[in-house]
Amino acid sequence: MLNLLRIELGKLLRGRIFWFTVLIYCVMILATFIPLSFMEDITGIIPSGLMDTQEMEQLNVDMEQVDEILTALQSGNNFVLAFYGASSGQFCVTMIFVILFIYVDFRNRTLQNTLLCGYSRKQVYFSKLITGYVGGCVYFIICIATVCLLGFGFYRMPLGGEILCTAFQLLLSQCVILVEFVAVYTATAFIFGNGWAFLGSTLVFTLLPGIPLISALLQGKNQFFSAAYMPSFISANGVGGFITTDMMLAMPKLWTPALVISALTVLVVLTAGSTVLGVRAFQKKRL
Amino acid sequence: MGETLLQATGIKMSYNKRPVLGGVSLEVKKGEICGLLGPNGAGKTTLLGIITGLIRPDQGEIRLFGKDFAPSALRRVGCIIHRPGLYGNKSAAENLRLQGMLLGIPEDRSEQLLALVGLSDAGTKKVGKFSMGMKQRLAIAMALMGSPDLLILDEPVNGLDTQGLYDMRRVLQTLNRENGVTILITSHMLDEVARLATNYAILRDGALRQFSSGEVREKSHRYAEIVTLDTAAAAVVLDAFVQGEDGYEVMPDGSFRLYHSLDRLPEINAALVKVGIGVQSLSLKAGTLADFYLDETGRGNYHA
Repeated sequence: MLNLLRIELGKLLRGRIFWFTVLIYCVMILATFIPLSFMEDITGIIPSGLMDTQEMEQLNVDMEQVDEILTALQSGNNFVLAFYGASSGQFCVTMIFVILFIYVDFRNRTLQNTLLCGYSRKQVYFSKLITGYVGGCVYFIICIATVCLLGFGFYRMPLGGEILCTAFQLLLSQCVILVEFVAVYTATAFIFGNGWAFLGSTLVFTLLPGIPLISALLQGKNQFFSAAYMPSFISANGVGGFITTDMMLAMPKLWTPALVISALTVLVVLTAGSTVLGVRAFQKKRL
Repeated sequence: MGETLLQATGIKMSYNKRPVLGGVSLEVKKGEICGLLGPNGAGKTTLLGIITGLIRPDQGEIRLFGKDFAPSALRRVGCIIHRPGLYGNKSAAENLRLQGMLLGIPEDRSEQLLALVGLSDAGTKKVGKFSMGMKQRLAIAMALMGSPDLLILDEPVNGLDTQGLYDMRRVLQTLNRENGVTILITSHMLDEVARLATNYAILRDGALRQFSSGEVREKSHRYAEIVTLDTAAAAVVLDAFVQGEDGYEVMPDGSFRLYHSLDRLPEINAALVKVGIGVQSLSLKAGTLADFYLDETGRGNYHA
């Protein structure tokens, strides 16, 4: 099993799919951080990328909105928001990666090859699950690093101990949440593998808002809700609009014991349920 | 010969309620080269998939190396099932190294195996750019990576050129004779199977029958080859001796292949000479594996 895991992790790190999705994700984070809502008023003037405050003032940008963003990003609490904003696409990217990572092995018949080398289907399944999870964690690390760098480099966010401590907490919380998402994606890929992975990914895309919605109903406004609905808030209200919504009020609830317990319950049920279904489906699958 | 390496008993399998294998049993003993034959869609690949655990049968049991099937037993088995599982974006050597890692083999045998299958010059080329024959050679090399005791090869010579066929035959014969590797092989190239196999299993209509090569030789359909100077007139004479449409056939070169009434050849010869037809040659030929196979699976329109 360790041997198989070592091979799968090697495939992850040398795989085109992984680095392609990392690249896509970095682009997504940058796109989230570029305040398009106020940049659209200055069409034809902005050369490219992010600008500092002086440049924006010279270009008659609505500085009220800019101040709002700068203020938000300079505090630890809003670092949390900035992270959630940036990490909203992370679950989608992880899904694409996990499903393609498994689908390619189905398509190339290399999954069959692994089985013919004497590994059990459970071993193959769990090696893929763990590798997918490691990949997902790497996305989070990239996300946090990017948020820190962008905040520090472009929004004058102080990179002090408080921010780093928050970053670590976020990473920890998200890596816990990621378990259930990767479990669902892996199960879907194995259930719909053999050419049906793309149908599976579509279904998961449909389910993606459903999972946080169920969690939201159970737990109120929580991390699932904010992670899943962040893009729509940003597109509807702009980054400034997002920061000023009542979502901010929900964030302090993130660490309440009741929320943690209910989130962990959902996590265990979803992870265990999808894994049992996935393993069963894979064991019955004709390869 | 003696120890049974592979035993499949009462394997039943159906696809969409259509039975493919109806209680098939197969036994392969140590040192054998067993040719698994059957028409397209007979279920050969399905049976091999079941033997290797890729497909779960509806009923029946598999024993490998004298024990109930367990995935770990496959470490002693080299397999090519259906089409080979290869990473197209990696080189042949990388594919082999990966296979070695999967099998937990510490030393790098890729160069040795590439040389064995005649791919030394293509070791660094991406497998995605390989021809079908090259992929097949690489798949054989991968199957040999773990120095298996049992090789299960599904259509391993597909796409191979003449040299490739010769090389593969030589490799498989050497493995069998010198290393005692047992081989279960399927192929539609019956000449190749006939040159390799020590015994045969023929699968048709969900049932499997096993024959030794001796039995095949004995039971294979013999025929008489008659070469005359006047094909049309000779056919009239033969009609008098041989009843039925499948009694003889006229070959493109004008010669006859006589399948019935072989015990009356002297009479036939005399009748031909009597009516003034020059007989250039008349000889009794041993049947081929193809003849035996067609007899077993139903000749259909073979003589038409």
